[in-house]
Amino acid sequence: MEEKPIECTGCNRKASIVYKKIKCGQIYSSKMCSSCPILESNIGRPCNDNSFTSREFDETKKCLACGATFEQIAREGKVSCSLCYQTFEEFLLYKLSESDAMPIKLDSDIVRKKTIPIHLGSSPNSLKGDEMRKKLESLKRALEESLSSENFERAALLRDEIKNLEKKMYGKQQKAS
Amino acid sequence: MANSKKLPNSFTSKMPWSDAKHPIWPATLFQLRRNLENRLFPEKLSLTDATAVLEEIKNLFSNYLTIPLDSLTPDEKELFFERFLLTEQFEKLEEARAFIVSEASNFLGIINLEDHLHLHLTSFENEFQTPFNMLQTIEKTVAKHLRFSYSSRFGYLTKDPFFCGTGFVVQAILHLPTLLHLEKFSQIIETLPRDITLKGLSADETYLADFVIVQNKYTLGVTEESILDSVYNTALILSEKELETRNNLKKEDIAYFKNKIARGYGLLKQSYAIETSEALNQLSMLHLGISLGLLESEKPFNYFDLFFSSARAHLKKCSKNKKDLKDNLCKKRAEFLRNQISSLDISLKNLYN
Repeated sequence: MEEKPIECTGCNRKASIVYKKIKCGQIYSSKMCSSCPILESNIGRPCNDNSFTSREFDETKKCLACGATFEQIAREGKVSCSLCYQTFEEFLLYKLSESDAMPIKLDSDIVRKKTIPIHLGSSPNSLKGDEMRKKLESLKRALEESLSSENFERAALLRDEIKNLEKKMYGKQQKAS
Repeated sequence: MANSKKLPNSFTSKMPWSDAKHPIWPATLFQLRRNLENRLFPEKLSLTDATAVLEEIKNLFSNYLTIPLDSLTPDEKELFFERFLLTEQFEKLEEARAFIVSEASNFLGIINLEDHLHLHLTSFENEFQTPFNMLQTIEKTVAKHLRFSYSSRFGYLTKDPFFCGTGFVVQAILHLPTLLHLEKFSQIIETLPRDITLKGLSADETYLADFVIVQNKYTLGVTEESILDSVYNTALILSEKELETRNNLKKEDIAYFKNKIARGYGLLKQSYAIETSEALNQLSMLHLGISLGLLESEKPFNYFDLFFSSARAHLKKCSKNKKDLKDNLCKKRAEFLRNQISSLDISLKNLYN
């Protein structure tokens, strides 16, 4: 006979989280579902975790160009070719974000939406004319998304980069005229 | 195969930082990391492919001196480390790896070490735009002929993901003895911007010789301009704070430094044998003593010349009898410093007043 799944003590859905609370020296433990509104009110934020850090990675992945495995990359913290960046993209972004190697903490939305720029510096064909305008547009889109998701830290950073880029474009136009 | 080796004349004619003018902020190092497109990174390259990369890059630097790594002795390699304050890990494999160096030795390119190409530029001006433009010009010259490994998300791709994005690191090197010794530093660190990291010259992260390296913490998610601005502004603030502290030393602080300077002078003038770290730390005190006017030298005192000359490879290079040096480096260093300090005719009159 199939066992009945453990239910959330708050709303009777399938439990996936063990929530422990210490009150007057006593530990109270309850099993709750990840979208339980009672749990949300207890911890003061949505608990259906969208943060990047909780994501799991495909540990069987292997780079087709250099043969590097997930285990190697995770152990050494270094890659062996350009394709490694594509193969282990999510893991590398997670590592960089977690190790404070980027000015902002990434969430899974930024990682999944590959159109949101993470690299803000120069590119090989260093941003001239149309490219500069395209980059400006994508930065502005990213700013709107950051504001709507209330990621103000990232929004501030993007606003500065937009200012820098506009200054560059405006400066160039002035020189040209 | 090793080519015939020739070090730049500047390696023998002058010491690395003899052009440094500012006593507190003597130099800034600019570094750029790049890899070529569609190639494995150096560690995984076959010898044939690594040689091909070396040849392709080397040919673009015809005005510079190319020095294959396998043509250098360990002492000569160390000389490069000391001169350019390199932090790269040198693998055992040295074939198909090379240094490219300018005659004035303010520019160094490293081929096939951690990445296909590292560009290093040393500047002695407290102005960032000119050296940055120079570095960009060199990079663009290479980019005209060779495509760099790049992705729109990660920017320029490097072996160590911590340097991807711009691949650009700026290190302002500051001499901050009063801030460090008066323990004001921990308070100052708390006020620094988040995108800045501080480190020392030695591998154990201590501030050897009271030097503090102000470096950008991020290479991804920031622009080159913001890196330059942030390092420049922080270095400027710290050097101004050091100057302000020196100008406003309290009576008890002056007594503390007088003691330190007098001891440093005594050690350098009288030591029989001295380790590098001790020598550099005492030289720092001597430099401070001269800056504060507590010591007066008859002849020009070039702190940075003495600083580099006391380092192992430079000391070995300057020594005539190489065999004698093997077990007696500390004795040789002490002897060198005794002679140098004596020849300066330093007056301690102000120190004891």
